[in-house]
Amino acid sequence: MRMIATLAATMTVTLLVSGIHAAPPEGPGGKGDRRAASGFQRGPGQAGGRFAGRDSRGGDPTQMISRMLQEFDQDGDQKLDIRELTALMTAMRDRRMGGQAGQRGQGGPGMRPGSGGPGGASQRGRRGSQSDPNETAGGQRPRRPTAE
Amino acid sequence: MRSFYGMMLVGVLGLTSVASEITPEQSKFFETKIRPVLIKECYGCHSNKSGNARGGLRLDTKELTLIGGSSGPAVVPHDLDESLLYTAILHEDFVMPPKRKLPAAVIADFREWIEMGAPDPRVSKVVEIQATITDEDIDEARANFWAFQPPQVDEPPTVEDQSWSRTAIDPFVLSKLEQSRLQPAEDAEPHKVLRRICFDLIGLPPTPEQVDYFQAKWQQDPDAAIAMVVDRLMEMEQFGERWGRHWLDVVRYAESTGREVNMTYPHAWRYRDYVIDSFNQDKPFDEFVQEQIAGDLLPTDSDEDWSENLVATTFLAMGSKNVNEQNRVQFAADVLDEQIDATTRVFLGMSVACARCHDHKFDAIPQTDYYAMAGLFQNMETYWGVPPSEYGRFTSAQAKRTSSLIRLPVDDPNPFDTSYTSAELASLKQQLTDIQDNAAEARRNAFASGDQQAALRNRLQTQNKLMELSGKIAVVDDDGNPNSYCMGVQEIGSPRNARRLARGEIDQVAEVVQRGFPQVLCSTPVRINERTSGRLDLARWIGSDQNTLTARVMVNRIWQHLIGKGLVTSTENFGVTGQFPSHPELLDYLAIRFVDSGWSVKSVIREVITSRTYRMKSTFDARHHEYDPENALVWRANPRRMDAEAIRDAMLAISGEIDLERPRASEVARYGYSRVRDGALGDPREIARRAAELAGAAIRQSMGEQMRARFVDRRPGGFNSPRGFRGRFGDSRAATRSAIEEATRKVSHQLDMEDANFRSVYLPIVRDEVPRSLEVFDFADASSISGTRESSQTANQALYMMNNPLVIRASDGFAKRVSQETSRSSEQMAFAFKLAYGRPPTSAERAATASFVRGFDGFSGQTLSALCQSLFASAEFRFVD
Repeated sequence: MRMIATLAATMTVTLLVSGIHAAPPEGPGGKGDRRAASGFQRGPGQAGGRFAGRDSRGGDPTQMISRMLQEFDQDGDQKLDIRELTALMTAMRDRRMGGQAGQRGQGGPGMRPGSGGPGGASQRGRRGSQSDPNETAGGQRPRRPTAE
Repeated sequence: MRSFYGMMLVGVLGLTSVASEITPEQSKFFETKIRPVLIKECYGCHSNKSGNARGGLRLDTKELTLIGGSSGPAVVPHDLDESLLYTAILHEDFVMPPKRKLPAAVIADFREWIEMGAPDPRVSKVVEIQATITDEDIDEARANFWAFQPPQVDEPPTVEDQSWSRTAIDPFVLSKLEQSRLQPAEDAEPHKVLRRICFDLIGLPPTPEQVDYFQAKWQQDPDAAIAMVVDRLMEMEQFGERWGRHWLDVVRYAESTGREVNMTYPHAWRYRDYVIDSFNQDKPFDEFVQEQIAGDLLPTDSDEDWSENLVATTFLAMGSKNVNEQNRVQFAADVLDEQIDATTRVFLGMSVACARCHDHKFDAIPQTDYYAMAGLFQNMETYWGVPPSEYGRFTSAQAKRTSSLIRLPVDDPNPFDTSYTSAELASLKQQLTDIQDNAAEARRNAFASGDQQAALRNRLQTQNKLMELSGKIAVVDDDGNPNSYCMGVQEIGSPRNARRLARGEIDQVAEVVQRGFPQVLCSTPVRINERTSGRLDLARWIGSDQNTLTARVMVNRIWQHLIGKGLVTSTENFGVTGQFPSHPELLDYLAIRFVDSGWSVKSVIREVITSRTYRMKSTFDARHHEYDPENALVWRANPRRMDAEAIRDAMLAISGEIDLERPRASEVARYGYSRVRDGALGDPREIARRAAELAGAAIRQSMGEQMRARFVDRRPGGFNSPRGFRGRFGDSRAATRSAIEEATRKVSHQLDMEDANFRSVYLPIVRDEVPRSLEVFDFADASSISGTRESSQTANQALYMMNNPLVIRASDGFAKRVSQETSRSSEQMAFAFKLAYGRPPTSAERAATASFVRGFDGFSGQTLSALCQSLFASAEFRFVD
């Protein structure tokens, strides 16, 4: 039974991750293989999301899962509790939505909603535009505290 | 659903265990292919041994490599894009090594290493620190130290002279005096009592009519007269302005980051107004505390309440910050430390921040307590800067560290901030994109020309300009109307515990510490729900009678402001190194009364002011002084020099020029997010241009006058007479110089706001650039938690009262008021004294005044103005007796 559960979980996570992974690696706003394509110059619209449009680098689902685990194992106990797992799932969903929003004209695929302006993001130099991934243009909308 | 998560959990855990181990092959790979390159190519500029950490980056330990430098992590396992070390050796974002590119094979090795998870066998030597504070020490301190005992005394003691007391406070004071065979001083004169009450409650002097009315009431019943005045004054808006300012001292309120690169907080004023309104509403202090520590987590019924709670969390965001800190991890740790320090010292009167690096040397606070609290605060994001625009986040060369802001749920109906027309907004956006395009072009040209210095200079200027433009665009909507923001905090991610840092150093990570409160303050161990950060629990615990300190600390501050000296003189240190209370039973009694009254600040103030203790004279007595020179037993009133705000406000009030309306926002908000330099806001080149313009206008005007004096306005009296050519020509030159000085001063002393007539609490409080009118009279250091201000007597203060334009203007207004409301010189003299001191002049003062007037040309306007300025400059005006 445990073997089946492990297999199912792995496949589920892999499926979800590969859904993100399946975003087009190149094209307007996407990330291409810049070493191969542009001689180490950043291509247009390469300010996409962290998990969007990856090429073969870091594309191994096993590595991606372990990387995400490192990110979401907040208390460092080498385990994901239910909250950490929920946060992981939520982040994956948000990143997916971010990519879709980008394709709707808010920026390139994989960009955070609202983070790509008309012709702006694609021209940004890295050091001039490092945004905290949690930051939203125009300010942070507060989260309403939950009732007790 | 639960089984689904369970299955996933099992699956991912299995993968983690595989990924986290370093195999011998990986170790060998690092030692043969990575470490030699790091040593040869990188350590020269990025290692401890070489004494270099350029860009804040060190690569000689595993931890520091992962933490990275000012631009971010050097290596992010599995992520080539985010690994700046890798992009640097590709010569993408940085050019490393600076003079040549590594061979392709070496680059491939690094790529492979990062892709395999950057396995790094280097082990940092962490010095084990043996805790010096044991559980037994904590138990003993909790059981024996006075401040950690719950307040017990709720009944006043029995005294011999029962007729003296008016409120329950008096027997506590009298009892101590009787034990020492001392007598309390007699009641002060009514005008002095009224002046004392007015300054203490609203920070303004009584009018002559109020003095007369109060004296009449006093003759009938002093207790009733005082009670009436107290009730009326506490209903005035000025009460909140006075007592709110006391609170702003304690919470280190300021409108800028301070430190080397002083960036403004354009939205801090909302917190200032929140504090003033809270005191006016007599908001229960426990709620007030909870809102400031965890307002973002308190459930609310309306968006208005939610907005208010968010504004309250500005408390956590407005500390001083070193925005020029190169290392973002160090910056985050420093911000966290400042928040812990402020929270514990402001509300608990205890410093926990000492335990950041080691166990507290005196109080029973082990280092783990600090990191237990760090866990409560590290699950939040602090918002204090300017939001990113749609073009992204830009930092300047000096202000490396920045932050966004919180959008208020309810838009400000009357926004103060700058708005733009559609055309202006479009122009700003166009400027930004143009600069970006030009910058890209300039970078390419710089490579071609090889002029790296010019390229660097150009890049820094471009960064600053981009940050400025982006900051302007970000804070308005698509129509150019300003959004409404506040500073504050928001929870992020899943709650997690903090790791202890040996010696407080960010690269010396030690064990995980369970979130919690300082143990010595908790009679029973605190359990924090794993699903919450615990910050709300902390806020509720601090704002409750479950801890022994909050109520004591606050009533002690109230006592200090009214009596002149705290029962515990170290108002922000109730620990072992602090002072033992002079009247511990009274402190307990007040704390219990405070809690029982529903944490009403006004009720405690009322009880103190209506006491007999409050209305004593400040008369000196040699025998009493010999026994108790510090007046710790309160055998007389403490004469107090008024604070800076009261002096300025009193001058404006007496001159009749004070504007009691609350101004919108703050001068700082007008300029948005910008750097403060030399007492001025904004771009230094723009400041210089404005100064030149103003000075130019002054020179032109003066030149015109000179020409008139020379060729047109030749008056009789001879060449050298005061009315002749030289006199007028010289006057004109002096006027030119004066006009230039005035123009320069107006621009460079912009933050002094000497033309403003609103109350001092609304003056801009920029760290290290406090207005002159406040600074000269010992204004609180806005970078530190100040429960007690200094009270100095310096030559600077006398010079200020003699020469400052504000004082001269107020003196002129004072004189004008006196001359308008009275006609005869003797009446004018008496009225001036009553306005300034609340009493008529004595016969000796009348004689001295007459002598002073004779020294001028009689009782003219100028003479009266000089007399009024003398009254302002006198000790009696500046003291509450």
